[in-house]
Amino acid sequence: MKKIQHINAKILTTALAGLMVLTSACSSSGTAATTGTTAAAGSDSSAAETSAATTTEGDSSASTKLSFMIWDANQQPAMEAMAAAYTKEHPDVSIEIQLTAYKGGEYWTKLEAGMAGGNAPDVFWMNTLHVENYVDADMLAPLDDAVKTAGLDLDQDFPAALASMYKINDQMYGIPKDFDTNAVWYNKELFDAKGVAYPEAGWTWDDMVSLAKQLNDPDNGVYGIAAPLDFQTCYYNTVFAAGGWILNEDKTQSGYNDPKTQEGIQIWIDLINEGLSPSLASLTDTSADAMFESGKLAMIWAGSYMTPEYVGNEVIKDKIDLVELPTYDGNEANVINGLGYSVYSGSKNKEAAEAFAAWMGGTEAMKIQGETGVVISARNDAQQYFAASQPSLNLKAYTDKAAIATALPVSKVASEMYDLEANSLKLAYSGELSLADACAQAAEQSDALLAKMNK
Amino acid sequence: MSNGRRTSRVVLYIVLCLGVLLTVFPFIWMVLTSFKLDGEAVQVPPTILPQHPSLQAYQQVFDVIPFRAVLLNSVISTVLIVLGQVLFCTMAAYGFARIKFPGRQLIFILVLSVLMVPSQIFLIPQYLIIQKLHLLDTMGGLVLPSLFSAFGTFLLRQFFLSIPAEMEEAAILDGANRWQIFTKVMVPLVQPGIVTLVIFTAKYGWNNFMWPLIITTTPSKMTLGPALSTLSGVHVNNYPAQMAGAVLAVIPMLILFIVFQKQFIEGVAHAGVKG
Amino acid sequence: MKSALSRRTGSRHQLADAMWGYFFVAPVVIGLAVFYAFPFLQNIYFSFCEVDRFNRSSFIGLDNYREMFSSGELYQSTGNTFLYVLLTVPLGIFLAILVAALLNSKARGQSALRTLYYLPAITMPAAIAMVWKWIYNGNYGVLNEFLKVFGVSGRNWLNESATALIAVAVVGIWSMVGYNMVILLAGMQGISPSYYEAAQIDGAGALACFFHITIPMLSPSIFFVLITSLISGFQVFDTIYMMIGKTSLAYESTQSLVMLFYRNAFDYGYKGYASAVSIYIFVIILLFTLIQFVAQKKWVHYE
Repeated sequence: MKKIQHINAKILTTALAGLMVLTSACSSSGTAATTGTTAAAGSDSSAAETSAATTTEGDSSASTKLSFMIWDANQQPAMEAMAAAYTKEHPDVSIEIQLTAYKGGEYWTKLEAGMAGGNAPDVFWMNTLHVENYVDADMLAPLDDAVKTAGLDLDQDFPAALASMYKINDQMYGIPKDFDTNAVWYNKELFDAKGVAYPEAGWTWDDMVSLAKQLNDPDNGVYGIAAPLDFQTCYYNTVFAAGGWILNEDKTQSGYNDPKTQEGIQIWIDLINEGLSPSLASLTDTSADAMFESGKLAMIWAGSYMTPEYVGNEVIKDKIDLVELPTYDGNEANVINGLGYSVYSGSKNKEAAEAFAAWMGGTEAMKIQGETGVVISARNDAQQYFAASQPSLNLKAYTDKAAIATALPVSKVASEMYDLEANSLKLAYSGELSLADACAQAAEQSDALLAKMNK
Repeated sequence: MSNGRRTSRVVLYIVLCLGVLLTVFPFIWMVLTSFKLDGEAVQVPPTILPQHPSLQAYQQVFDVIPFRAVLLNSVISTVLIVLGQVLFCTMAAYGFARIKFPGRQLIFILVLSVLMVPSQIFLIPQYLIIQKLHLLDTMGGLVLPSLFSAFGTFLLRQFFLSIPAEMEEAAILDGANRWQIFTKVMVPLVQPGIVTLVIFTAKYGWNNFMWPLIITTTPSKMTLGPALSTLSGVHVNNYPAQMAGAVLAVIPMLILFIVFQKQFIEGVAHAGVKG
Repeated sequence: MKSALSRRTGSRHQLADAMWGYFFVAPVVIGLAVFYAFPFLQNIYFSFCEVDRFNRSSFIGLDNYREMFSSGELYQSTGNTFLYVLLTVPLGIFLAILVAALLNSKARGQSALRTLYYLPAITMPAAIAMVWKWIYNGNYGVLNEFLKVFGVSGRNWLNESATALIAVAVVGIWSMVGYNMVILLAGMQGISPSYYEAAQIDGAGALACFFHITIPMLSPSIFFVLITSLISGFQVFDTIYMMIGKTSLAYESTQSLVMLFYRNAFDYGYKGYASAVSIYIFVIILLFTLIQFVAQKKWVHYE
């Protein structure tokens, strides 16, 4: 027993030490909390700069506090600047920005938990993949009145395809924020090495294939082009150019069985079969982006959102430029998608939130956003800033195509349909099934899914 | 004999070292990546050593995350979770292992069954409970659901079960009550188990991700895990910055583990004396 | 000794002792009931409902279960999950015992080695996935380079149904060894040296000591490790989610049950259906755990 008591004394001291750690931690947490609030209360531009994530705009005595959730750390400075400009005009409002990553669905999980509990952020970014579900569940406030008050003209001020994405049952549920279109980036160094001329606007799919043939150098691990299984960036563009379709107007049927749709997909598979692109398995292991950023790929189809990534890459940033998508069969097509600002229907400051969201679609806000060069501002009059942010690059290849672009086909079951599509098409890309069979499979499953959705 | 022993010793070391090499490789990779520039991290074929070693990634971490506040929150919540679990789980484990009461088996299986459901199930309901308790965006809400652990109860129960019955019986004959037996006799004997629980719970509390993410909204109240996830943007994966964040997050755990290893050995030394 | 105890404990003592029992387990039981059992009951109810992303539910009876059992996905995922458990659990525990035993023999540098073996357990999953994806990379991976030395041609490990699950299982084993080792080592260090001293006097060798003292004395810890490894094996998700892309040809042949659950609950917003899947997972794990609890009487030695 004696020895046990000895051990016990030791345990007691350990426990005491633990307790001390706890109490000191608690007291320091108290001080941390207080300093936190003081910093927030006295926050002005300097405080905002030192700790970007804790910015509280405006005066803490403001009567209306809005919370605003976003998912991209790269765009946080722009969002802060816009919020600051708004609160300067409206001193009675303060805006707190919350950043939650998109990756892994974290952003949506958090938003949906908040909505299930009735206390979501007042204003937040929305995308086309989710907007119909959210409207369906009455989680978004219609913004038509706020749009009118703010004097926005959605049809005139924004690309038509973009404004239509957030209009559901004839009501507006998101103010267009930015958009992305597609273009072809190329590695000038690889072109120069082979003495091949750079592609120019007005080129065709066949031009692209013949360029790829000249640039292809598999022995050195270099490919002319890549054909990843990527709907928005790659094959939807050619499906539309070939006259095909993915989803009909009233979202009751899929278009995979249309021979024109299949034509637009088959030309990509041909690139793999001819050895001009790495195989699908290879591109799943090493993405087309990674290959392009290592100088192993001569040409790549990429969305405008890849711009900061490419120009920030030390390896390739001085060797690249871009050109608009090649035409196919004499047609040009481009898939456009974009984010919107939405307002929570259960917001306690709904009116103020709507006014802020509408203001974010105005000239001033769009200019601040555009000048950062991270995304293309949605307003027609603000698209120029994106192209101007990198004068040495032909970024107009993106912005010029907004007017002719087709909206990304979406529905309430879009994410499931994309998965079904990928599951079938990958069999065609890898040669395990003919494209017609793969498409028949995708069509059957998607149509069943759409029927269930419309029930 | 001694020659054979030396050979087997050499073989043992070779096996152990090979195993270690395989084991630590990803960790080394994490550290190396954190010193690379953004472009180099996705290069094919990958470079092993950073070509232009740089602290840029660490700078990016500090730019995006209010690191000090976040670190402090992580420490506090981890300490609270560890203390809570050690207290409650040790008690419950002792109860389940050593005291007979009606329904014991059934209740224990029910406790265990918590481990059998995919944990994501609990996320939203727990959020709604914490909201009803008005604990959203507070330290209390952050730690409360984690104070009770089926895993920890099960772990310590196994340790209690392996203690010879004589130790307890002697104390009972001395007229000690259950609480005295628990604190004076049993707890010291399961010290290696408690140390193990501390190590695991600390890791769990430290790396806890989804729960702090949805429960905290004010950036200054966040913990390390969710804060690190904000490092990655929409389409862009800045691997060096993520790895730098991960390295910074691992270091405290590593120190804790090394410190507790000593406890491990000392505790065992005492147990040895007792035998 | 046992009789000495029971002689002292009359029925009044038994009652008092039972009260102590409830007192000791109360905090954990109440806490788990509020934060886990109640959500679980709600989950059972949800499995009979159509539930959207925002937790709004409407009762639909057995439809979710009917749909679940009539989909091929469920059986495919079940098969994948069982295969994964079979590949990881026995080998993972065996290696953990081996490493723990080696570290427990008073080797020099023991504590440093132990720290190193524990590293995978505290390394961020994203880092783990990134490294292993690179190791397995079909074009530039170290594994293929290594095989080339022996004249074996490489493959796309994560893109072929024949290899992907095995490749993921290797990562699973790799990440569980250090974790289980810590528990087993603690168990080993709890074994009183007097047993070994007695055995040595009797002239027993190292191997005999290992099989006749270490393993039986360690069996409660081994049992713990077995149960928790089984449970986490049946719930495998992270590594697969991060390592197998949607365009991988091995996507179907590596989809685990929790993957199926996760995709429906969080990607598609079919929370009711996902609840039914989670109940199915729960029942499978429960069955296996109960079997283990019955079987333990045969091989686990408590004092």
